[in-house]
Amino acid sequence: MSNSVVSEGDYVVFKRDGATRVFQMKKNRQVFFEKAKLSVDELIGQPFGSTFEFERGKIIKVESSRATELQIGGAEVTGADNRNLLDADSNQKMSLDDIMKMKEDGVRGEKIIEVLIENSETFKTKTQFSQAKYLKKKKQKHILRFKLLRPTTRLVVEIFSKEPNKICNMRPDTLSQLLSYSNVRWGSHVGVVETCQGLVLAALLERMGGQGKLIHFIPNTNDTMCRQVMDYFNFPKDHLSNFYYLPITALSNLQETEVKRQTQELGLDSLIPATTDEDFSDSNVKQECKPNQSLELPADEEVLEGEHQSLKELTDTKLVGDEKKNGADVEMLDSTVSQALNTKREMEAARDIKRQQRAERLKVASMIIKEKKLDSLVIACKYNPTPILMKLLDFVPPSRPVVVYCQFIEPLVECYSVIKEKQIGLQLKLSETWFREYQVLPQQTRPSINMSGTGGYLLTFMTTQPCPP
Amino acid sequence: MSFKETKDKIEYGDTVILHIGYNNMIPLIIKKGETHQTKFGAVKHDAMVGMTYGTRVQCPKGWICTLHPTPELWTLCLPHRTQILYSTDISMIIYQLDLKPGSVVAEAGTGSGSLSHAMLRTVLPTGRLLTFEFHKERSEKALEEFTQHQLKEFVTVTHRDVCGEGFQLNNEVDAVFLDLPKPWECIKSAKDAIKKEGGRLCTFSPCIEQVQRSCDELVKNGFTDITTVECLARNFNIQKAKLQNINLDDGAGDTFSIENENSGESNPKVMKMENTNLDSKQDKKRDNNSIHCFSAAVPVIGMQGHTGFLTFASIYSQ
Repeated sequence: MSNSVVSEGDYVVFKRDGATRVFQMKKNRQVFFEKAKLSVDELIGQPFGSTFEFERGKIIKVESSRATELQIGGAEVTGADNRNLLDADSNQKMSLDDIMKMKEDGVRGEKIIEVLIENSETFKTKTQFSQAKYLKKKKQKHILRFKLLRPTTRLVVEIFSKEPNKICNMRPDTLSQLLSYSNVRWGSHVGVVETCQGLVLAALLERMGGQGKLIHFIPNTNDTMCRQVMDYFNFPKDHLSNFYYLPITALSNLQETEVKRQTQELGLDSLIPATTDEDFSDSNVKQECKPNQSLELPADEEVLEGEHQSLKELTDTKLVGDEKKNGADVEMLDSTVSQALNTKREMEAARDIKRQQRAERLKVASMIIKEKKLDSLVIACKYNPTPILMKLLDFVPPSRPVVVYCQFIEPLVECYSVIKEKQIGLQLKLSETWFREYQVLPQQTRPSINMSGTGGYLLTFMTTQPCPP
Repeated sequence: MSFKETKDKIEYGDTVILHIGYNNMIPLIIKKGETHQTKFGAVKHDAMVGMTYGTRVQCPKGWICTLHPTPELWTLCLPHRTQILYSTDISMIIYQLDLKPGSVVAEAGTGSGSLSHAMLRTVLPTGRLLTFEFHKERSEKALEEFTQHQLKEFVTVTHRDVCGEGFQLNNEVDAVFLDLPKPWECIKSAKDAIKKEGGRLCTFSPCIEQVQRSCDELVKNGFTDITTVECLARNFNIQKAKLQNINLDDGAGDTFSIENENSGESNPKVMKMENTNLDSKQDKKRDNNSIHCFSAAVPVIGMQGHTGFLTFASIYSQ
């Protein structure tokens, strides 16, 4: 994580005005960014924070001295107002064909803009502000300049700014409060129910800084559990080893029975790390839980496949078609080779070890829940929160923060009423955030034209016990 | 240990948040032999020791609760020496400054330490807070609180006016936060303080003129991705609301009554008044006037309309 240059396999953020995307850096891979097809080979080994320009089919590094200026002249004369401005095609003497030709000839974006200004009848009569706006628009269109950044929660959330429904309409300000009110920090034990593609899990894991336990409660629905956002953060293995999952249905068993002695013998320290597999097998869960309670869980392979697919979907959709095919071929080749190398027995043995590790990790997670070692509880999902909250609260000790996020207010009104009635929460608060961005420019400071209408709702409280009668 | 990590039982020396009511919380340091007076009567410190955090304490005239401190609760009950930042802005600041365990952050001024506690929670144990305050007593008081809260080892409190004298830091921090009357005077010094590989900066200013000057200065110093935002918490009260359904005709014949609309038990939210006596015309009328009951989330009427503008900026490898 402390690596300051991009290594192969890293996820990186491309950021320019109005567009933020995440890509995995792999050799011989092309990505689509802002309608351009980029080969990312040259980015491997470059320091994070660098600026690049895509020109004539190549990625060119922009020196830091030039990175911030990018001033294009031509605005010496300005008009007073727009009383003589007529909307006509003849205002611009350059035709689309002329511009396309310049592009084909490899004329630089800055030069194209200069030509456009020279050939604009109206540019000089525009006001100073209008000229600046014109320039900004043209720059956005003809110059593809972006920064190469290390993914952080803040940047990864930006990726979803145009499709917030993927993360249950959670806005950055709401997520920021979720992270604060949950009091998550280094070494925290956090229980989470989320369906935000793993964004909330990743954000919490980042704040845990490689210590503590993050337990993802998995619902027994047929939904594919998506956590691909966790990959974007390039978490080192020791960070990921703090991540656990537990089927939410397993909680009933924990409530009813004493944890088996063997589970207790298995102390928290004896867990085998480096199993970051997010899948689990049916049989393991049955071993772990009471045998008479059947758990409806997808089988091992199914989950793997589902996750693989969804992950591919998000990272690879930007791959160029033939490139994707090549990649798939290589993968297939790889797998056949490895199959040839491994005898069947070896594979089975490896699978057994994996299975065992998974079972042990499930036990560790169960222990934390059973022994009420949770420091915070976070719910941010598309399911009805009240039953989930009431189930999980049985495992949260008193005086611990609870945060429930929902994109609708009504379900949280219900949560609020239940908590209030049962007297099991203090500092109970239901809130939303009014959030607005500003344009700050000389003589032109004002709120931005567009704002988000909702960022979802938060219910926060501290757990307590009811007053004795 | 209370701010540094979460624990189960109350011990001597702990800071406990006494929860007396929603807007009535008191921070209390547990000391041997002491007694604290609340509106519900006296509570003995010794009696609280050994209790589980979050459980209720019996007072002569009612129950109070002992909460484990968190930076958010501390913000709600800390002794004010200045105007303080509240959790909505604090959350945004910490998030936008990319703080996480291990981050080094500089803050000016310390004020009453509301933001400082939240920052410390996020960056410890491997990170650090360097906080600057030009008011001597305030900076001393802040250090005293950090010490009481076992946070001293993660924080450096400096009594200095950074506007005049600067941070005097060389490429040491990941992020800088400025809550000063003239933040633009410190931006150069903040830039010098930020690590070579780059970092984030935030200013908090109540007035737009301050924002304007800060942004100009940020651009001049090579900061990019400059954004200014405002965020306000909108709290809701949950109420059982009742609305009367009125008669929409003269009461004769088939009326458009709620009963027709929502047949039977399908809508539990509509409570029909008991029809006890249908003799007189008046009673019949009242019968049709059913009450519509529902749980309402009502925004608090008087809300804070402004705290300050938050301006964020990045600087990349210098």
